[in-house]
Amino acid sequence: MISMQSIWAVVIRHARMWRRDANALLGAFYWPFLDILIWGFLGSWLQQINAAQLQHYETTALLGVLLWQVVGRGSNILLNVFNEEIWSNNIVNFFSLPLQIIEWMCGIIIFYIIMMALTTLSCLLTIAAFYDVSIWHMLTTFSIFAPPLFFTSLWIGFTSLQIIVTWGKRSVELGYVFCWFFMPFSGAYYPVEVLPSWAQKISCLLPMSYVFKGMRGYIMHQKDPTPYLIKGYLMGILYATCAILLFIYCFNRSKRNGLARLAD
Amino acid sequence: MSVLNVKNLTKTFYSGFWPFKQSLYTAVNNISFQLKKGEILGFLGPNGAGKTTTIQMLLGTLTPSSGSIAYFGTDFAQHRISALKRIGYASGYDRLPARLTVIENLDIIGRIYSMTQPHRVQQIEKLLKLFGIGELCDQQTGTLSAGQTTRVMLAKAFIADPEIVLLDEPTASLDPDVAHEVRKFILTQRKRLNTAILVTSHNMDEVAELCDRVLVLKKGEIIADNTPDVLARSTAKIRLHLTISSNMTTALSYLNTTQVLYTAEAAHLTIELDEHAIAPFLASLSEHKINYSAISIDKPTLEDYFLSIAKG
Repeated sequence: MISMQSIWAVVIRHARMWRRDANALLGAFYWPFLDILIWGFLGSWLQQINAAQLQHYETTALLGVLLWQVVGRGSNILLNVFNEEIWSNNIVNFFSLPLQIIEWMCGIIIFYIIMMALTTLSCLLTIAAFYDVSIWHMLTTFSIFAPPLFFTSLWIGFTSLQIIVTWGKRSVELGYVFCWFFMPFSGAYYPVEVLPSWAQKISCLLPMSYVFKGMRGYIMHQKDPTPYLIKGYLMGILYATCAILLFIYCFNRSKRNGLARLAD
Repeated sequence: MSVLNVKNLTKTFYSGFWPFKQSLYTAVNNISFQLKKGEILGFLGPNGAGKTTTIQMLLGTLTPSSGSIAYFGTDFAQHRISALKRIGYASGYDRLPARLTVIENLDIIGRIYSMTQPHRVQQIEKLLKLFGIGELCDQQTGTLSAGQTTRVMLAKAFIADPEIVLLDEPTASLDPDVAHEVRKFILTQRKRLNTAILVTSHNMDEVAELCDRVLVLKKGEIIADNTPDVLARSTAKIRLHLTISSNMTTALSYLNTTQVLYTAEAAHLTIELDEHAIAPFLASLSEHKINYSAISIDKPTLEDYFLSIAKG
């Protein structure tokens, strides 16, 4: 005999979480909102251009996906490794070892590079299996545009980590939201010109929007990407440096309330 | 020679942000103590007394509000990493990454302590054998029982032959025989390497067996600092158990005329006395022709002391 009361108990068990943890609810609105923006703007752009301009769009779209992995997936990796210590209840254990915060940061950045190399390799193999594009061309283009995005991912990753070391386990969802917040404004899949003017102002402040613009011009119109790459590098390095310094400050500040609290 | 010197250590927790910051509570209030080389110092106190907060400040994972911590004569705030290289730590509350095996976890910790590969292998093998968990070395730590996890954590604390070990409830969730082995190991380690150990525990027998000195914390303050034996005798009296073979009524009438606390059940009397009052009391019983067929004495324990401060 199925008990309605038991079924309802399961429903309220999860619903009651929302009252005390707004972050749990955030995902229910945020991710669909993000999808609507990304696919909506992509559709608008495709509608505005003619078929001749779409000549190299397959390569552009695939490179957009591949390069976005460096930013989105990369910052997620940085977030995941810290969350792993939180979920393992290993925070106090780990940071009571003779390990400097800078050593830990270098370690997770190297791990991120290894993971990104694996991700890129698997993406390239998938592209080779499913699409008729030159893998060598993809790889060389990726090598040109990925390095400035690496700095951008450090900026986003360490800024997300500031959220976690300040508010602890409960803010994990917020950290992931932050990683993907810039996606619609970065112009990974469409030019930022398709965005409303207020959104274009945000794009101007993002280093990755210049890198993606340079990549699109290079692939679709054979334009020199150097000015965009320089902007991407300079802004990326500046933002990453600020984010790393702020993370160190937030980490040390978090010790005022104790690192053990982060796992609560 | 003191290896750890804590002066006027205070930790106050706040809520809110400046300028609306409000003091929530003071977890540790102006405590000072020293730990000598080779000494085993116990931290005793009811829940919320500030034991774990103090340990976290001693590890540098919690910043003190005021006061100072000096390891080996150098300021911990300035030389945290060099001090931590000489300190081991284990807690019954923490865990290691669940999906790594015991040996993988200990290997990572050994690397962070800058141990060479042969030294790591040798130490891990030795400690796993010593804690009776050699057969678990390839098992993921997430699959271990609470007792097995505690033993891995202890192996972690001693991996680099530290000069100071901080143990927060080290034998929590261990079987009595394993807990006994652990205590034996701690004492051996102290004897072998002259390791200074600071241990918090709720197990009074353990504290009494292990510790040379006990600091008693209550509401963040040190209320006593002495040997376990002296502390036990400081509040609790000796309990004298007598089985009265004749004149129980006389015995009760006599007891009512004295100031002593007693309980009576059938022919059995339990009387609370100071140690020096036992002989005169027994002599006065024979003067009143009160005979007893059995006698036993319960000495006060650290648990009696703990209960008295917890209640008080």
